[in-house]
Amino acid sequence: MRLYYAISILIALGALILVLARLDKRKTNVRRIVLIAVMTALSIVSRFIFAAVPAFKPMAAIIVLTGMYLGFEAGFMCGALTAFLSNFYFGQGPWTPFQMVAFGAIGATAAILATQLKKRRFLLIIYAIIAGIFYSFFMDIWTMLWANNGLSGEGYIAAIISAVPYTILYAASNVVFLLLLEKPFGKRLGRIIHKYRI
Amino acid sequence: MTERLHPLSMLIFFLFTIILPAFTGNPYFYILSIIIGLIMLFNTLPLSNVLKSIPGYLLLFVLISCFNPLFYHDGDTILFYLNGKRVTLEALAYGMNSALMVIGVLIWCRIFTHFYTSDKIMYLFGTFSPKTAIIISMVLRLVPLYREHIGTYRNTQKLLGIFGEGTFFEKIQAEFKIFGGFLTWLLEHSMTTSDSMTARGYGVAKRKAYKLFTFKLSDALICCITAVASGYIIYAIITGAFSTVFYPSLILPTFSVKSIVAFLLFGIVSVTPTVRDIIYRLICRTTTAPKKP
Amino acid sequence: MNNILEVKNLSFYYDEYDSRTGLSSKGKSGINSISFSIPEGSFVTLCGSTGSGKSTLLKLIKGDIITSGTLTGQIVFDGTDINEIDSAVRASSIGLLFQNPEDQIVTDKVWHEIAFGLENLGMAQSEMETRLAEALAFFRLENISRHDTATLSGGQKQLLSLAGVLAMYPRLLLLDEPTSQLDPESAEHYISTIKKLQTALGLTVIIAEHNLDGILPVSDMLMVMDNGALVCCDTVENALNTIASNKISDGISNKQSDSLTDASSCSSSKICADLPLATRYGISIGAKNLPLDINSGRRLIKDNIISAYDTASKPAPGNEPLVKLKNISFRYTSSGSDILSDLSATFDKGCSYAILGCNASGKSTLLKLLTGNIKAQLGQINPRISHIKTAYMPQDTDNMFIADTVEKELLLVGLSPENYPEYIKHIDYAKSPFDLSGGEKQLVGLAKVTALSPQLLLLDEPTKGTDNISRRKMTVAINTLKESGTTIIMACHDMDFAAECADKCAILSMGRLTGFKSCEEFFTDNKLYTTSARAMTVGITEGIYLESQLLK
Repeated sequence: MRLYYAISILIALGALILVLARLDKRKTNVRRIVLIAVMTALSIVSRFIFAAVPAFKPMAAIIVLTGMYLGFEAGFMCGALTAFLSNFYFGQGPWTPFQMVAFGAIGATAAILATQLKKRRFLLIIYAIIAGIFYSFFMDIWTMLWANNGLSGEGYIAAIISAVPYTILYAASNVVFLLLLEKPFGKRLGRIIHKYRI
Repeated sequence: MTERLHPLSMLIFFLFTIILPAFTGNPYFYILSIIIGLIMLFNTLPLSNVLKSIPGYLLLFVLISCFNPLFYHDGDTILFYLNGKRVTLEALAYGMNSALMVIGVLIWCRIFTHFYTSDKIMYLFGTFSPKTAIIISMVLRLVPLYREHIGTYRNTQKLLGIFGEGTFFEKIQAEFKIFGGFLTWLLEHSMTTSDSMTARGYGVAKRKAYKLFTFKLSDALICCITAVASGYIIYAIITGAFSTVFYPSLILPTFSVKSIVAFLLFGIVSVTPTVRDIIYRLICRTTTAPKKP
Repeated sequence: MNNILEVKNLSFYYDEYDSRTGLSSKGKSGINSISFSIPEGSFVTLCGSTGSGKSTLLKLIKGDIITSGTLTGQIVFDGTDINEIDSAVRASSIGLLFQNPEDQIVTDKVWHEIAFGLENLGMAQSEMETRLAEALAFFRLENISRHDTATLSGGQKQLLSLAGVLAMYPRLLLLDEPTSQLDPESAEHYISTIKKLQTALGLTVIIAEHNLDGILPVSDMLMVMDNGALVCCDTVENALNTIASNKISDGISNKQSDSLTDASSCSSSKICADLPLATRYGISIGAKNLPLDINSGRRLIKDNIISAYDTASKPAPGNEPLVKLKNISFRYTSSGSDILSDLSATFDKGCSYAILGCNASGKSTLLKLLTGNIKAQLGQINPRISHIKTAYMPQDTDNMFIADTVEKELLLVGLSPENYPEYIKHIDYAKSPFDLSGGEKQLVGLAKVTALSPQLLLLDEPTKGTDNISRRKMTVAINTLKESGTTIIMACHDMDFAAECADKCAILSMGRLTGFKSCEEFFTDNKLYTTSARAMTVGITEGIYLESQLLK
């Protein structure tokens, strides 16, 4: 049963390497690359600003906005790198690859749904909630493998139950920060994208 | 000495020490890994720094140990009833075993974070995704810059009266205004950075990352030994040399030739960097000490 | 002679982007049919007022930076049209450096910043190693090669960027106001490094700069731009003579052109304002050989003894104290050394103070202490800072801006366009504050803090990155403000500016202030650390320390 723990880490790592290597083949505008770095740095800094508050963080919201305005690659990179690099300040562990995959997926999905999310605010709210729940449930798989050394329905439910407050906080923080940040980000990123033809 | 390891051999070493013990499920293996990890931690970080984190590890041990028996009620040996549910020795033992694994992993991760500096991350990413490598390098520059700048920016805006005498809600609004202004600032400034990248030829040819590290004989040796040891330990795991049975009743693993060889191999490989560090320090001390007249 | 760069009939129009229709159209002109050629190995200074097209020209020569717009004409680099050169060759042989030290750094480590350009060229590892070692040795960056770029000082950052470009072996170096964000010592060091590159390695250098003090004496050629057109491109001597003769002819038609500076004043007087004092003095007395530095200026003064000059009489400031500092000591970290130690001072109402001193002497720290954002560990400030209405203008004025346009920015502090002070009337209010030039930013910043009608105004390096015209506007603004009873304390490197608008000056050194003296006393007593006007007249005529006393 313990194999799952190690195998899941290796799968997560492998998936990350594959996606990053594939993204590397794309030719990306220099300005877009800089913006990916800027947004990633910003979301890491936001983790510092909210370091004192557990689970209630604007990271996921910033990653979603990056995906929405700068595209698939940016969303994934920003998500994965935020998790990876911020953990150098907040504690690296075997959970890092899982966080990378989860945040990367949230950012990339936001990019796929970008047109709808930009058009309708309620869709954005729904996406924010789903992203929060997804993150929490995804990390619960990890908690289960980690604390119980195995794959079991019971263990998973136990992990989900014990993480309910966190799930609520993740979803709530996503909604709050997305609603608050959508307008300022949209306006400014839009301006830069137009002004510099990115 | 350890910090001079090539990023690749260092990565292989840490994957070995972080992931491999978990495969075994064997408490003795976990304890061995924790002991060697702690030795290495004491050898690399300042003493007070390590001592401060010991209570945290103990607390985590208690928490994880208790988590399992509260949710799992299998096992023959009942310790007591809690809210009508059985709390069993087996479940507790299982929890303790998990806790040992978690703590071992945490200790080795901490050593990993200490040795795997940004230069090494860059090198590793540079080999399979130069684009990611350059983004990482930029992010690592921007994080301290932004952290410092947002403080300065907020203070300046405070002096310009952005908070006014407002209510709590208005103050929150002001904070978001500050964040918006900060965003404009960083976006505008980032465009110069991209001009600077273009000016230095970013994108004109296939990018090749500068290799700060060379793959030495010692790196090759460490890779080989680690690979051989991993191979043997995995063989031992598959053939059931470490099996611990928890349910229905606890059977502690026994020692066999196979498992003892595996313990030895793990111990030798994982302690090597520490030994090398200590020897290197002694050499440095003897060669740099002032000679008596 | 072999020309490394030839520009023929170059014109450039920016694209106007309409965000509503999403269409682009030919917009405002950036460059207006310019032609010139530069011989290999020259040191060329490119000057001109803000918005004259200096940056645009440099970026166009470099290529690839400006991606939208219409370009006509031809740029020939070393005999080949720039568009026909392989992009990798173009990237390495023409180097372009920017104004802001922070922004042009890309990576997090010093070694990586230098290797960055080489990596882009896809160079072999062994060659990269050699070039990196070369650059580290040439720029003496060896002992910081593994440091984080974030920990470097502004001057070090500019040198690092230069090293990064030089490692690519450029033949033409384009520098866009590289020293405007640096303190005088670092700027001097930077210019001397550039000069060394030109003389020792035969590099061609084109450097755009506002402040021509240190750079004109080392230049071979002077290019002057105005409104997108090239006014002249000649040897320094010839160019200055052209400016001088234009100025004289302008002077007849427009008597007060030199005094106060508006957009309408003629181009040559605008350029004149940026020239070194010695040169301006030469022009003002109609000398044949115009001096470029203080020393040759002194020779000229000896020959033309100044008989009458205005004694700079400043009104005696009031002596009702606003704030008193007593035995202030401050350090940033508990184990660090004292930045300020036992500092005492009294600041009177309606009086302006200049705190001079070299880099890292604690000037900015003292100002921050007065804002109340940081607290001194020892000593008293009387009355408490929270009881005084304070306004603060930081070194980096970008920190003051929060709105999308200048108009909204000023509305935040209750200023509507009809109440704008005179000195910002020429600025386009619809622009984003970030798109303004350095000088314009400082002026809008000053308008913003002034609108708070503070009792105590703190200015940190108000002249950083500004051109001379904005500086003069600022001088007037500060003097008006002082008359309205505001106490002004400024920390600055710029002694000429301090002499113009401070009542009292002191040097902050070893954590202490030297004791405030009146400006006249301070600058005429000092011989090492004083204004250019004083340095030019030391031992020849006593009592001159202001530019206006020297220039008629």
